[in-house]
Amino acid sequence: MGCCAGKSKAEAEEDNRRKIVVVGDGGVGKTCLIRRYINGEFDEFTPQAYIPSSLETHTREMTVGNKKFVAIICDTGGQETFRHLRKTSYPNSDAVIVCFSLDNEESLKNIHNLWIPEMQKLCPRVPMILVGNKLDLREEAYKPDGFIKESKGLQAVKKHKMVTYLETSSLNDTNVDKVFETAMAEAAKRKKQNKKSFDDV
Amino acid sequence: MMEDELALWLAAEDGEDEMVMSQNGGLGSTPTAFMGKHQARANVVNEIIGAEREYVKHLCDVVEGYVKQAKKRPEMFPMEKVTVIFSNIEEIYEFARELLFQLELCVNKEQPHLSELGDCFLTHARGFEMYSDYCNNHPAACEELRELYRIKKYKHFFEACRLLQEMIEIPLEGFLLTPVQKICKYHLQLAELFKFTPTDHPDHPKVKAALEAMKKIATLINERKRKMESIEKLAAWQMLVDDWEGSDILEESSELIYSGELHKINHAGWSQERYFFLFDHQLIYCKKDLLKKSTFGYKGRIGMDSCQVVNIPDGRDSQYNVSVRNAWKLHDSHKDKWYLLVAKTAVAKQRWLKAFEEERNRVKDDTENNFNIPAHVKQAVITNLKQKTNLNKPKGKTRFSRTNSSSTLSSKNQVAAFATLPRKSRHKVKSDSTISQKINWFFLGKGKL
Repeated sequence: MGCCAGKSKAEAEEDNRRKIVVVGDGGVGKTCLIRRYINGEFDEFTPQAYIPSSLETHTREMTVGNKKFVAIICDTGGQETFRHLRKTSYPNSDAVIVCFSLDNEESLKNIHNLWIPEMQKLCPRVPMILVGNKLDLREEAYKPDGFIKESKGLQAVKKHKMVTYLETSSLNDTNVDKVFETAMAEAAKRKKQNKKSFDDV
Repeated sequence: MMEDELALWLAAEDGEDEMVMSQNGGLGSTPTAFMGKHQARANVVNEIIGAEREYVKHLCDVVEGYVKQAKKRPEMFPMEKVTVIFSNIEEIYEFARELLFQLELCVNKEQPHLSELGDCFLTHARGFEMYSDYCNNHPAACEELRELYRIKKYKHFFEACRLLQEMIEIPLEGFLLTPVQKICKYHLQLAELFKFTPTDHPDHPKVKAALEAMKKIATLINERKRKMESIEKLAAWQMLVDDWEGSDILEESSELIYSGELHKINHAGWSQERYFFLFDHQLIYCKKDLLKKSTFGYKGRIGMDSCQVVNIPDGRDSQYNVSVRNAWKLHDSHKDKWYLLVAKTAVAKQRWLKAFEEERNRVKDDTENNFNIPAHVKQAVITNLKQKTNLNKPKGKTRFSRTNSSSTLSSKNQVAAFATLPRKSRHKVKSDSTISQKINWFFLGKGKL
């Protein structure tokens, strides 16, 4: 095998990889968000709960400052109800995107009671970004009463010391790029896990 | 699952495109009408097959690109290392290939919406259980990879594998996650298929059954993983108990259900303060070590399988001839032995009584659902933990470093476990080297209680 070829290149590439994991209740729009960002599309006319892709892990090149990075974006869709299986997606994460849906009170409740405590425990000190999905529904609603207000999201961010709160619409492509750019900017600040743990030993 | 339960569950699982659904006033309206119901079902069928094909290709990449290459380098990858990293992925690959082959046969090429896929999942249902071993091993694989990625030689090797196989830029651990993710996805796929399978479709009952079966499989795998984490904790707990007697905790139990301080009244009427740990199948009581905090001394055990919990009112108990409050008795019908236990408060007593009920339910549940971890796996956990504890024990000032664990792994496995037991070894520990090698990832796991 050509193990010796391109050593330094491979090494440089490794250091530029950052893992971003996306969590939240089932049906809040995690997969749509990622799909919109990676493929730039939204499947309006295929009403599929399940979006076909065997690889739940995606990559995309990103630039932070002048430096190139590779974002490894890990989707946890489908694993929501299987607590002990979904944990396997978490190790070595550099940033976490925690999602809820603006039309779903329960999904915000679970942010406080389930997702944030779980991420704080299993990904300690990893920066978290809170995302309220399905903004288009709130904006187009005749009466926005039934929807979650922006202030609620901001409160949650403050309470749990998260990086920021963003409201998105995968349908209209609102703020989608910003979510991943913010996550990557935070992730980029982190040194690679390997080196860090090596220092700890 | 009952019919309405299933409907509820489907509603709850109504996944990622919910916004489209709710916008258009729910199921079956605009988007479906837009392309016709046949077309919608045909799409789902094609997507299932497409996703399966992609998955098999991906497994093929891992097996051809990594596993085979690693096996060619036994000096870098002795067999046990290959097993820790890749577990049974080759077996999963074969299984997935066969499943895909069968699924493709089920597709009606001319009229894809008429395809009947349900049966294919049902006939393969048992086979999916092999994912359980894979999922249980996954943390160990990651840990091993983390160690290896620190060594340049390995890092380059893995990167070269990826480049040669022309795979996307994800580290190996990302690729290894796929089977875990996949097993969680089948039920979503089938829920989707079910949604577009009208009641008069010949596949209707089978898709429904397949959906339930795949949900059950994922639950089983999740539950076994929980059990696995739990037995590691239990084994670690036992190591903290001095003067242990009788069989190892894991021989009968796999989970801690409740614990707390109680007073145990002996037959002379004396009250003794004891710490009780209720596991499935047994209740173990210990004495707290007064000098060393958080250490316990083993005092005895009560087998719950032959035990009855007898609630007793506050007041004088004629059998023991003492006055008690918040008390209950346990009667072991097997040994015909009585125990009188007293909680500090009425609330604590109620909590304990509930815990005893939970214990019985848990035992019933585990047996019915086949959640139990096989004895040889438990044995391997014990063996490995004992070795690990011994190796971690500070001798002089040097501490066991995790960095060189990979290089010393093989030699560690050959050390007879009983020779290195930290405490008395009344019960013989089998040092089954094949098992311990197979599951030597327990060395690497973090067995925190």
